[in-house]
Amino acid sequence: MKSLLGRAHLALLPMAFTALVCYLGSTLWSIRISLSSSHTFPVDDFVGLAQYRRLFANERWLHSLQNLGVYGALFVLASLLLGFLLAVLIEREVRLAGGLRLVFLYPYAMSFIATGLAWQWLLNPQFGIQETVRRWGHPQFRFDWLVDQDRALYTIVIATVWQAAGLVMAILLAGLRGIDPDIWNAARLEGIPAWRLYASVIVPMLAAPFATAALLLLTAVAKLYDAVVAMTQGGPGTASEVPAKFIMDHLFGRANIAQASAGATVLVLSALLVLAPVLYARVRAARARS
Amino acid sequence: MTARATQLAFSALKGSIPIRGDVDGSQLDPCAQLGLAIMKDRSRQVGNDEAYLTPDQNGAMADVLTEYWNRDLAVESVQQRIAAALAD
Repeated sequence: MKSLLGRAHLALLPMAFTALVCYLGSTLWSIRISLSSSHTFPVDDFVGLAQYRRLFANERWLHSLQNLGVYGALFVLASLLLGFLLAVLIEREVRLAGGLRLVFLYPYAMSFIATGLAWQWLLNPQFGIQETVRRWGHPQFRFDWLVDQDRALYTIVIATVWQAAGLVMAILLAGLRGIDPDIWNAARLEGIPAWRLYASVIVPMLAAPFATAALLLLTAVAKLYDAVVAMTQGGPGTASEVPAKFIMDHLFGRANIAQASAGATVLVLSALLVLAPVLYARVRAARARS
Repeated sequence: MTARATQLAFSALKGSIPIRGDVDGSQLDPCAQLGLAIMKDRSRQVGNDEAYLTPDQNGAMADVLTEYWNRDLAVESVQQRIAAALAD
C-alpha cells in the first residue's frame, strides 16, 4: 500500500480536481443561485424557496415534468425491448453478425441534433412519410404526429429509440456471448421452446447487462434537449416541452438564472431519488456477498 | 419615403396608417382615419413590451399565450396566469 502512495495519487489529482471543483462545485453554486433572486447576473441575496414556489406554479414546468415521465417510461422500455430483440437476432445469425452489428450500432454514432433533424424531415406531413404514402396511392393516409398536440412526444420517442436501441443491443450481445453454451445444449436436450428459454432463463441471467443499459438510457432521458430542439422546438405549443429545454431557455433567452437553477436542482434531486434505492440495493447485495 | 404625400399614398394602398401623425387623413378610408385619431390619443398609448418588460416577463407572457392558443383553457385561468407572468 505504501508503495502506491505518491505517483498514483498524483496521477489522480487532475480528475479529482475536475470532479470536485467543476462537477460538485458547479452543482453547489447552482443550488446557491437558485436560492437567490438573480436574473442576468448572480445576486448575493437569499430569498428562500421563492424560486421553487414560482417554479411549481409554472404550468410549462409541470408540463415538462409530465412529458419527461411519459417519455422516459416509453423510451427505456422500447429501447430495452428493441435492443434485446436485435441482440437475440444477431446471436442466432452467426454469419451476418458482424455486418448487422455495425448497421444497428451506427445510429448511436450520430449526434442527437442530426438524428432529430433527419427524423423531423421524415415525419414532416408535407414532405415525409405521409406525403410519400399518399403519392403511392393512399390519399387518406395520415401520419402527422409531429404536429399533433397529443402525439408529438411519441415522435421524439421514435427518433431517440432508433438511436439508442443499437447501444442496448451491443451491451446485451456482450452479455449473451457470456452465457454458458451448456445452457443452450441442455435446453435443446430437454425440448424447451426457444421463447420459453429466453423468457424464463436467459433474461434473468442478463440482469446485470440490462441494469447497465437501463442506467445509460436513464441518463439520456434526463438530459433530453437537442432532440426536442431539432425535432419540434418544444412541440406544437408546449406539447413536447422537457425540463432541460425549460432550463436552457430560462438561462439564456429569458435571462433568469435563478429559475433555471431551481429547475436544474429539481432535476438533479429527482435523479438522485431514482438512483438512491438502486445504489442502496447494490451496496446491500455486495455486503451480502462478502 | 417619409414625406407626407408618399406616406399617404402608401397607406391608401396598403390599408394601414402613415408613420407620422401630422398628415391630413381625410382622403384615407374610415378605418385609417379612426386609427390616426387613436394614435394621437395619449391615454390609449402603451409602452413597447420588448423595452419595458424584462425578457423573463416577455417570455412568460409568450408561454401563457402559447398555452391558450393550443389548449382549451378557462378564461379565468388564463387571466390568473397573465397576472402571475407579469407579477415578477
